[in-house]
Amino acid sequence: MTMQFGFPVLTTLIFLPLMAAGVLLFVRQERTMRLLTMVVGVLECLLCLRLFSYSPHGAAFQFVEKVNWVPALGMSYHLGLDGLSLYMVLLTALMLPLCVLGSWTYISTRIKEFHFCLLLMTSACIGVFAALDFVLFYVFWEAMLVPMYLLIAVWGGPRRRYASIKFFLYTLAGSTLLLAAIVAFRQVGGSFSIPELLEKSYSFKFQIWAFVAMALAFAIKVPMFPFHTWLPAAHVEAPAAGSVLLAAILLKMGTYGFLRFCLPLTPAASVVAAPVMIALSIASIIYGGCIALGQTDIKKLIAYSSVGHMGFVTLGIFLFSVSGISGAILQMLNHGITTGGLFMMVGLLYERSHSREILDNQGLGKHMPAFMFLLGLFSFSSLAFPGTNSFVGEILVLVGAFKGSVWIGFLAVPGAMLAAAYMLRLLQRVTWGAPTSFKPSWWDLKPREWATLLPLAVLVFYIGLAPSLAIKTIEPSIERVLTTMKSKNMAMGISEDRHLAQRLHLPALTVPGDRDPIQKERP
Amino acid sequence: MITTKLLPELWLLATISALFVASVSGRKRSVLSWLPVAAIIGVVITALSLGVRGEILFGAYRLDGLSQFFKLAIAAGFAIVAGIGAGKRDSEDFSPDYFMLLGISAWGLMLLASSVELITLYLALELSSYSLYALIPIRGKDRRAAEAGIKYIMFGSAVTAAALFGLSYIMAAKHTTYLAALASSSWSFSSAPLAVIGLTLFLAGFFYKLALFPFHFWCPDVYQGAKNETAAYVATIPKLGAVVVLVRLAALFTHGMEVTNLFAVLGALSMTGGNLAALVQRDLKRLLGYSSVAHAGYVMLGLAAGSAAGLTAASFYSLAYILMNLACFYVVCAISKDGENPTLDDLNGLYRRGPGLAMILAVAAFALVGLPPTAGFTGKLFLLSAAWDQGYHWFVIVAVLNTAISIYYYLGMVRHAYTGQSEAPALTVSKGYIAFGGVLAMVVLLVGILPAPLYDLAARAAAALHP
Amino acid sequence: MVFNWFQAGILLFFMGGLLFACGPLMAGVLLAPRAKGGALREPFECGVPTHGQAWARFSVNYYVYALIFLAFEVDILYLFPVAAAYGTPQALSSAIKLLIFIAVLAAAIVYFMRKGVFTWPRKIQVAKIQIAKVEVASRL
Repeated sequence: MTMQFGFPVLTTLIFLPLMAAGVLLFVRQERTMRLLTMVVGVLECLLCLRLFSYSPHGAAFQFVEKVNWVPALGMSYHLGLDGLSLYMVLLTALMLPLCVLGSWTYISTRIKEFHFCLLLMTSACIGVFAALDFVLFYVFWEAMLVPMYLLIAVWGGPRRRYASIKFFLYTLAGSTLLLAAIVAFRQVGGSFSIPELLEKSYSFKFQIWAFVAMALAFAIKVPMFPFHTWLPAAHVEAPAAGSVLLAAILLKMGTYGFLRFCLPLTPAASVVAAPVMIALSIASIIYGGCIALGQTDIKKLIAYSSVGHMGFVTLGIFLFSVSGISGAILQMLNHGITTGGLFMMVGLLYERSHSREILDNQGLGKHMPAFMFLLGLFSFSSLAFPGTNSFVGEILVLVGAFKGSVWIGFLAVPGAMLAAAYMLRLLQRVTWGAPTSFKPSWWDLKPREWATLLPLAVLVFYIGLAPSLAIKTIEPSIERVLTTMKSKNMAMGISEDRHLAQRLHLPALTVPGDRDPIQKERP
Repeated sequence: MITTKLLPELWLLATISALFVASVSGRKRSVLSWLPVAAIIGVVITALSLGVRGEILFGAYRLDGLSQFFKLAIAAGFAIVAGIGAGKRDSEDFSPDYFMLLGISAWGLMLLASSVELITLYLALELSSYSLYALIPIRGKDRRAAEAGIKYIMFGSAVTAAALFGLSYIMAAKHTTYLAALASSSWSFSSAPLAVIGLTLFLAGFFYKLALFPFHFWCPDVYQGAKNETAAYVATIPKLGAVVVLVRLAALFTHGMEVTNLFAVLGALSMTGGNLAALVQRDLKRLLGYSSVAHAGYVMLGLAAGSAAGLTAASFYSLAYILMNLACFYVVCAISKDGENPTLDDLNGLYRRGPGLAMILAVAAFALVGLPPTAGFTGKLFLLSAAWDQGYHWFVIVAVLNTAISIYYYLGMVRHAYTGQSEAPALTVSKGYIAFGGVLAMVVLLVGILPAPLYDLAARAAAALHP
Repeated sequence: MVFNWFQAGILLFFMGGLLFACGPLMAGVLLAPRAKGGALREPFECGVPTHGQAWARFSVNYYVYALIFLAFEVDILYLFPVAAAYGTPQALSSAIKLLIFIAVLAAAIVYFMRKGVFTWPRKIQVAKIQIAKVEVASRL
């Protein structure tokens, strides 16, 4: 087993929650269950401090752990982090204790199973981001569906049966073709190991089919515009902690998949499909914004805003520029922090008013000032106000968009304006609207709730005002991905130096790379 | 010494004889006090005999890696079914005759695993089938069981008669019935049409046992009509026998021949038909019957591939399949106190009434879907890899699409168990029963997480067939 | 197709067989008188008028006996090749193999005996004898 830094930090991160879940089965008291999960969450965050020793200019994958799993098929238990996944793992580890704190009074039935699901989710999510073996990735990818399904189906709202089944079936059906693509990659590439597959080059026809299969699974997860219909239902019906996990982490797995698999493994197909993906991203941004503008249910509003924000992320990814992709990754991180915070606050609001409608939660600024301060902070961050974290991400994406083509930039900017519109509308109504149903029994933020939201608020400011650490960490990995893409495409005869609009005229389906290996000229 | 090599079969024969003596002796003591122990000792003996090799009976009966692997699976399945029965000590259906017939069927399947000559194969097949013909109608005074029994006998005898007819064609065309000799001759339709037709008919007999489309029509009705424990046995162990014979026969073919294309087409139809029909079922055993039909299709992925990897995957998947299916039937038998057929609504509230059983059901259901990290996923991955490597791209895509279809009804079981509400009181199941079921669920997870030892065992067995 | 007396012969024999079977039937249809009704549709009982159902009920034990007879008859059939194969006396091993075969059959007989297959159920019931006794007593 090869590992760095003395002890296997990634395996511990993955298996500590699993072992705690096993121990949890024997705990009888409610308080002990919550405390145990809380302690595990804090331990996970402490373990993540180890990960801060990541060196951006070091090896491609760090904290590598590799053990043979099924040697006959080339499957290995291979974990590792690079710039793309580092922040996602940190985000996941941070979310666990916050979710436990946020559900302290929200969840009152079947507490043991709730925390069991939370622990399994954390373990599976960290596994998805850390996996460097395609089958291991798929194992964790599917494994996190069951706890999420249970979270929605057992502790959810009135339409939870519909929402949970839709989420489960939609996501799982999308990822079945991913399994076919994994099997196909092994036949063509020789093993399941991602670093090995990254070094090889594949024929154009194979790339197109593999891209379609993988992109379908990831697009459903992100969710991109036509495949997003599971998201509002799942978000609205899920309990607060479920929504936080869903928004902060699960959505990022789709975009992470694009970055890790679609771009470097099928670069030619990504380039060919880029116009379609960019169009779908812009559609997500504008569609999400417009629909959010018309919502009266706060949770649904934030759900559609997620669709819009993730549109920015996929837009950034498919611009194939360093600023675009670094903006996308930053946006992944920031959206997790911001929307996680927003959903947490909606959960706290629901505990007080037992309603998610705006009408029932108006005019609370006078009575719950601290709450509204934090709500305002997260709202401003969501609309990408300068000084907050989302601003950095969005501005990088927009810079990349304008560099790619002025039209893309012009089409993406209204999305940012729509975000301002619906978030400010929400903020105005909830804070300063005519008070309709406030009761004196509603309490302002308690210390536990402060503890839940304060880390996220600090991160909002920190990443917003000093993003250079984050950007410097992820940029080398992005450059590596882009160089791989470029070199593979050059070898096949597709050049990326041309402007996007010119690229659209390329008869891409007759690339000489796959039919005539001798001739390297463009048709 | 030949008896030490044949120890698994001889031990099971001794168990059967003891059951026979108990059956004719007329004493009232239940046989279940010692049967599970004897069955577990049988499993241990079979596990210790994994390495024996040899040939007896003029080369008609061979002990090789494949036969010992499947004998272990059969012994394990028999032990688990005996364990399921042990939970129902006081039922009057569980006479010694019942277990004697179960044992004879398992013994026939063990002989089937080692037969390498067509007539011996046929004899062993009939030995295991006849005991099942007698076993299925045993269910109190239930008329549905009689209907199930008649369906099984009628379909079974018709198909085995066709199989015998096919055997005669093979004998006529090839002048030999030894599989080793048949392997070295040509099996393309143009050079040996009579033999290929004969082989197709012969295979029909085994497709019947495996419940492959279009020989699957008996499956849901028999599962529904038979007793729960009988259905647990019929759903799992005879399929092992069918798979081991099909693995031996599939080693004769290569990709692209008419027979392998037939395997692939029947497998695809089986998967799709089984999954679609299962979507609308409410009776649990009927649902599991149609899921058996679908899984028979998945096994065909490995058999159509025909390579060493494909045969390994098929063997591995059949073992994983009986473990997951037995875990599912374990819960089905536990929740029906009086032996009636449980429906999906009977699963409501299981998380509260029997949390251990609900967990076992969840593991089994998700394993049957093929969700990681269970044995079902690993087995399916091996099957898909093998089929794709041999060029059956369309088959693999159909298989993954079918996995997506099947999610709904397996999830339905877990949904009723974990989110359904019911006022029924807690289930009174002994702790030992739940512990054993928990071990079974653990094994399903373990085989999924660490498949390498079993996979290598199956790979060595398949490599011996397919050098 | 070349004309071949052999094939013609086969054809003629085939048609002859068909005619042999169908001829009398057709003759009956064509030449028989048109009679209807009466006792025409009753089964033939040597002129005695029929009474009761044509499908009489009889004990299921006959069926079981017939099954067992058939099974053991086929077992005797299996003994013929054994006799042919072991024509000259060989070592004890061949006798042991044969005895194992017969022992399994004997075990089956023991099984049937213990399960009550060979005990013929009593058909004459006590109640009817008493009625008959009462009738006889009343006539005296």
